Amino acid sequence: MSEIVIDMPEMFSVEEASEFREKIRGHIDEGFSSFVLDFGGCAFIDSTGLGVIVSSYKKCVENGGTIKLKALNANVLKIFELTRLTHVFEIV
Amino acid sequence: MNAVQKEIRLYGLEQHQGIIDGIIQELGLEDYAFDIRLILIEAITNAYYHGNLSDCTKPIIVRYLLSGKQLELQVEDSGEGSGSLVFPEAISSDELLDEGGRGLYLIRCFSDKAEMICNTMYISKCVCPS
Repeated sequence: MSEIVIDMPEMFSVEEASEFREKIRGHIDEGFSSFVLDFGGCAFIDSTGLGVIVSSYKKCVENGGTIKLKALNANVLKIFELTRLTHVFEIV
Repeated sequence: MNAVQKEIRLYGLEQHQGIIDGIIQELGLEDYAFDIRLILIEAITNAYYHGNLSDCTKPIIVRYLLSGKQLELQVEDSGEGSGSLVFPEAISSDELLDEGGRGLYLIRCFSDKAEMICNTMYISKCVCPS
């Protein structure tokens, strides 16, 4: 099944993370398991945002898929690097 | 430069992003906006979930003081105070795929000093106001 591209919000914190969780779970329930998260419009991410992406990633992997990250700005990339999640996610 | 000291009381996580933006603007620390926003969001989220046990009726008090190049932040919750809150120095390979546990680590990464005393988190960061 093809990849779904999800545009990430400008601020990816508590509230937005909850909306993202619902959105990606909906897609996973429909049978999709591979996603590209486009961070082109995202200027901020916190630990809550990271946690939701990680839990979604684990579900995708269980279903034979994956999550890739795209167009991270320097600050957002730094958060992924510091938390060593650049070892987990492919950045395209 | 005269020290600027303020205190803001908030409830729940409804208005905290706007309040943080206001603090950054007021202190003229736009060049450090990402770092300060991350530190305060993590500290306030921690206070709300772990200190106030997600109770929106309990206050969270944010205090901020800019003295020269030294920014001092305090985030006080309404809890009893956890005995031994550890700010991790690293994320181990075993913890890589945990859903939580990164907030205090990130506060540590983006500040010069962070510690929890009773129900208050004390954070220091060196900045150069523009």
